[in-house]
Amino acid sequence: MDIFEKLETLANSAKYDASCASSGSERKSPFGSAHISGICHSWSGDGRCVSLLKILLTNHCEYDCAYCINRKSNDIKRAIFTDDEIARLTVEFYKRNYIEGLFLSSAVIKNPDFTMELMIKAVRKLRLEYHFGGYVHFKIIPGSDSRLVNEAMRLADRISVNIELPDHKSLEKLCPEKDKYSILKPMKYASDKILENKKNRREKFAPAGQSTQLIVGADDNTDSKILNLADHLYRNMFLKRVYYSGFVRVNEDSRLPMVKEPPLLREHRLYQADWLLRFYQFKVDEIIGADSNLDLRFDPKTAWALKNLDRFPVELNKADYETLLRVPGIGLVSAKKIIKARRFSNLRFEDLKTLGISAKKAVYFLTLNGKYYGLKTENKDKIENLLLEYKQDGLFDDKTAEKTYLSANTGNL
Amino acid sequence: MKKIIYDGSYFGYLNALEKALKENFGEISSKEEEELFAECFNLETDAKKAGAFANEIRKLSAEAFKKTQLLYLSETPCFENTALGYLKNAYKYGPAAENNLADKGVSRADKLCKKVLYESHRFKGFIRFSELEGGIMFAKIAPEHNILPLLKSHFRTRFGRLNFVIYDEKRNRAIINRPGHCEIMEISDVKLRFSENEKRTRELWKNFFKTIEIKERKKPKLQKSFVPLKYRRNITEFE
Ligand code: SF4
Repeated sequence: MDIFEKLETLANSAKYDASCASSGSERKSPFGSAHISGICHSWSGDGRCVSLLKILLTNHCEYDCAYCINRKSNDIKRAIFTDDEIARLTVEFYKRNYIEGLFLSSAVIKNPDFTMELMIKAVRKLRLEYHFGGYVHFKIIPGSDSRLVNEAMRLADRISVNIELPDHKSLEKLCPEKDKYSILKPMKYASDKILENKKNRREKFAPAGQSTQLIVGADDNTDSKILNLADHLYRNMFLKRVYYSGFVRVNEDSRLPMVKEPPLLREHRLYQADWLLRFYQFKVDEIIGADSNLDLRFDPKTAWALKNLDRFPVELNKADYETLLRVPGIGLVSAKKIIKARRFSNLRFEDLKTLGISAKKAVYFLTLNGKYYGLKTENKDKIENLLLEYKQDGLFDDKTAEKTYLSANTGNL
Repeated sequence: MKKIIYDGSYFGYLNALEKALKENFGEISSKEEEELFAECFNLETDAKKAGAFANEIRKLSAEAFKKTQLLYLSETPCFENTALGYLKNAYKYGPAAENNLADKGVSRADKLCKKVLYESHRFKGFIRFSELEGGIMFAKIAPEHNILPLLKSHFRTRFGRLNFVIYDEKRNRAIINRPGHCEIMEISDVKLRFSENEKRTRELWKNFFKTIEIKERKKPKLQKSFVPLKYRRNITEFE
């Protein structure tokens, strides 16, 4: 098989992994560098950021996960890269500025350790023989030995172990060869190592931390299950990112739900909720009740505000930063702007636009110098309807946050 | 209304700003037009004075100096007046002026500067090099703003040991890097002969790019908002 066909096959097999970030690492070397906030180089037709050469080392797989295109029982074209092919492709693409670096994953060939050894060999060649100083994301194979995880972390900027399914019941049903332990053990090992290394800062050791991915909609787990798990991973495993990937049905399999289209809106609401957890100081139980799903009609912050109307309106000229962040229509950037600007002068209704606040949305939740500009006959149903009518062209409260979010969705940050 | 006409150069721009601030001119322009209502003053560029004024702004605040430069690089219509409105505030309030975001002048300057920085950030990703015979890496761009000065250090850090050229075809200027030496120069008449390897690598990349799209998730509008059509001419995978 020539390199053209190989690349096509092994890129096609890798594309369902959502993560693509190239951020969190600062590297300088004679050939290549890593940019702390990451750089997107392109966007594919599905609107996802492209910043890394995302490939599998091989799609030969010993396992048979129900949802996966590469599973053993599928009759598909199989291929395997040599270490030199991987290194040369990365370098040739990198010096044309097509990419920030390499994202290397793999199906399980023979067994997890054997696979990891091949992957390590390729990345080692890239780093040591080609002196590559760009970004490397290394996908850890569940069940592999800690010694190999350690080796991968020394070569990579970021590592990830994909959880994919949020509980062991689904795992048993859909990925019979994997178990919870095989996934969590390398993840825990990595998080301990990252913590340890932060303390004594001896060498570069996965400086961009670790991430994971959860598939949404391949089983019947609820959003609250997913968000609680994500929250746990952020708090206790210090993950940098959790990616949510709407289930795409690529295999005919009776264990899988019959869905024609991936649940993109649900995935989107999960990302929004994830942001509230990480940047807006929300707690999981404020966003979602036990055993339930997010309201698809509203973004989770607006949904929260509608449930807590008794806390509103708040005074724009007095409310503290945390309170401002909870006002629908005010994002991270505009909340900071408000704090700055009102030190300078009292803010008026006309100033909302200049500050980048979507007044149409915020107006129900704010007073300006004591005056309320929202609905006179304050009632929840009416506000709900008006907010539903108000079609957001964007997904977020301010444009800058939206751009950051969108590239962060699958890319930077 | 009193108006200053200057020669369009960076020094001239600084001279014009200084004069406008200190002698209360309302507008600055580099275009000489028949003005019916304005009283025009043609300004002679003075590099020494410009340097002194640059220092004065720097003392005012580092941010003010950075913004004054970025506004110049923006090259958008009437950027001089945006700079003037902003600097009036900076002179009045010092570094605190940055907080006066409800002020239209400060906010306009802030937004325009962000636009310039945003474009330069995007081009760190959008620039595509081709390998020429002899191994020189060559890229062509046509950005809205004059961002070469903002791109120089990033690409120098990344590809310092390569010979590379980033050519702004709108402005006929280029970053030219040889190991150990990097500068921005005027160039014209660019003729290119690609290396043998080049065509093949491009095909590989284009096919990779096509392959990774998930058909079930197609969102062409979103893609367009990230990679505007105006930039695509110079981006290999969209050619
Ligand atoms: S281990 Fe499972 S998910 Fe991974 S490639 Fe093999 S079948 Fe797919």
